[in-house]
Amino acid sequence: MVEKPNSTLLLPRRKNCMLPNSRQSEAITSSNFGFYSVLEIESIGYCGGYLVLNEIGRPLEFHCTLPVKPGRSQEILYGSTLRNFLICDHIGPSLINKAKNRAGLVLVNQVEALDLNSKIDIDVAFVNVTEADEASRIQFSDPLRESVIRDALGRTSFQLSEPFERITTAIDEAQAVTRQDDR
Amino acid sequence: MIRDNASVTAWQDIAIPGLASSTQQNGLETQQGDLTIPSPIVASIRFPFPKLKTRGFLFSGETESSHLPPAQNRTTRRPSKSTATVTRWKPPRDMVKLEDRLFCMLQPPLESLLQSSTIDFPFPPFAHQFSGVAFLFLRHSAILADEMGLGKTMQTITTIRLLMRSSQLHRILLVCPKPLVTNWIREFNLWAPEIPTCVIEGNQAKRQFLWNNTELPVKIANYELMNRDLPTILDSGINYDLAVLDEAQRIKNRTSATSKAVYQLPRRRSWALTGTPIENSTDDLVGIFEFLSPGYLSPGMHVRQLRSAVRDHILRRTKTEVLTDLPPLLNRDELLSLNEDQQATYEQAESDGVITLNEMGESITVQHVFELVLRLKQICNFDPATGNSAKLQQLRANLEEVIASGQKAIVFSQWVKTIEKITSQIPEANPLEYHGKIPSKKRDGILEQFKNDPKRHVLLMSYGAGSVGLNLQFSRYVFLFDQWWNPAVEDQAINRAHRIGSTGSVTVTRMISQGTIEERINDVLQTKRELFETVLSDTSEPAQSGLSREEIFGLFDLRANGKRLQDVA
Repeated sequence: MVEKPNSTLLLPRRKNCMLPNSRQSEAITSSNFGFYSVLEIESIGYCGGYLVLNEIGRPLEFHCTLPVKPGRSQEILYGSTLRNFLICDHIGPSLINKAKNRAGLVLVNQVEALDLNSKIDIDVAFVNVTEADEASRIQFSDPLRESVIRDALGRTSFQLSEPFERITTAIDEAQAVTRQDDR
Repeated sequence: MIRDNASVTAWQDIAIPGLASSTQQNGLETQQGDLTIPSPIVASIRFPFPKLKTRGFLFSGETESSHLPPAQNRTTRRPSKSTATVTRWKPPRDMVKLEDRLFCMLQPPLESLLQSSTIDFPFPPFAHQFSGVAFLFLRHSAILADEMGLGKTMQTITTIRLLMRSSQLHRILLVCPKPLVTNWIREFNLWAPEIPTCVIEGNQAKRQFLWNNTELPVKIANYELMNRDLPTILDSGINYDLAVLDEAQRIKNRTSATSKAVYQLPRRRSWALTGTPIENSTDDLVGIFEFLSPGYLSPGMHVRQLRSAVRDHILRRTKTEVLTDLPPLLNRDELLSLNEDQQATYEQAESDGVITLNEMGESITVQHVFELVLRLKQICNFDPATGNSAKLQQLRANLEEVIASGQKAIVFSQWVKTIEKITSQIPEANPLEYHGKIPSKKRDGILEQFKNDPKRHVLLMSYGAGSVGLNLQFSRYVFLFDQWWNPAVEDQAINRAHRIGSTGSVTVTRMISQGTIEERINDVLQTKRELFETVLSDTSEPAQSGLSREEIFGLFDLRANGKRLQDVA
């Protein structure tokens, strides 16, 4: 089967889509939070993980991908946009759309993933895990949604950087089990 | 490479713009220019990523491990978002379903769950204690083998508390040495005051009533009762959700009556607590595992095989690993010369004893040598004829210093008689005694008095009664008036003072009579201690052990038929 190439690939990176005015102040009603991260594992490839937590941090759902390993030709064709493509177009929407529990906000720990905002119908915020200051740790795909997102984040009772560690552990575990099964 | 139809056509009708084609008409060659712009040649190449394969896990249903500690909604308690330590849940190896394993790993850190629950602690637990709780929580058969003083009791109680809150435990049986029963009650009151405990004691009728009572969540019994009450326990029909053995080295001998009784306890989960899971040989571990998971290990297993088999079931941490800020432990050997009359008595006893042993020839046993060793050690403590003691003189001087500085000291001896003699000769120190002759009911009062009474500076303890489970971390000095055979027991004694809660350095003084059997034993034990410390990085190391048969014979130059008995042994 031949896939239709995604037009965004070869175009300059587009600006984040702003929401229509009517949605700019729309509150986030779901009390679930999605955490999306892609691990780049040498010699294996890219593995994506999406974890949905309730507001006290309990896991509701987890989805992960088998490793995606770009070939040499794909590396040449996509060039410097390869990583963005994988994180925002190829892996992210597939994982997030598979979730049965809809999250009110998707938090990502890779700045490239902020572009997910234009691919899914959920607010996206970037958690800069290296930033010590809690207030400046969050970046928003749509600045007009900042106050709404901050309200939603205020409802959480866990550290925002911590669930990404869980995703890493879970992906490692799933990979280990898959390798065992393959043997 | 993929070509669409248009490009294939263009490929066939290839025309190169700018170049004229030539044709022959009527013999004349005419040249005709082509002015049409041909369709471009399009070659489409795609490098599609294969369809993304994903795996999904929905945790809303029940999974094997879905009963992790409960957390309350923020309406009841708002947890802090900052936690100093992060304890992850590591599923045990026998949890095989990937969904269960992931569910476990994806839980919030234990600290976060505890913060968001209504569970209070009298003191903030240490990081290693959190990981101990997470370890026990997920295991049906486990050994918590932390070094003494790291809080095995607290970790066990906290895990019981969490498991009870998540409705996984309703009936718990805790078995411990008799002197530790009151300690467990005290610790339960401290760390889980909401959990009622009941001590199985009294006459047979009372015990039967208690064993049959299904309303008691935590029953605490001593090892001695196991053998005696086993029929009652089995008749009660109660299947315990959890059976915990404290100081589980008590069941290292698989054939002992106590071990056999304990193995039969009806239970779903089995935990063993011990700082020395291997005292003499790896078979000790087999004995403990016979309780945890019958048949899992077999005697004589290769060390590597054993290590691999038990790795997931044993958690052992040492104080140096986890308590980097614990005050230092200062060890010093105080070599003392015997008094003149003591020396004479000692020499006479040793030469007579050796002659007697040599005369016994090949009928000599370890027991015979042992008796001589004990006699000589007693002389090193006190001269039986005059009552003189070089150790006592030194101890008195040391205690004066302790008292003057307002500190407290524990003095250990192997013999109650020695303790009584010391007591009678240091009235100025106003000492308290704690040993096998002291009734169990009085023991807690003595410890309280030692802790709280500023005039009580010295506690004299026997190794047997005072070496395990007691928290005496307010003592800054420990004196070993004589040494035990096994360094593990000696360490247990030392760790009464040097443990969590110690506020200052703890000085341990080993009183050793120079040029005597004590010095020879100390040399052997010291070598073993060094070996133990060198290899103690895992659970399968040769543990600290006492003197072997060869080593006991080697204490004296004993000969039978011209051969050294040490070599014969």
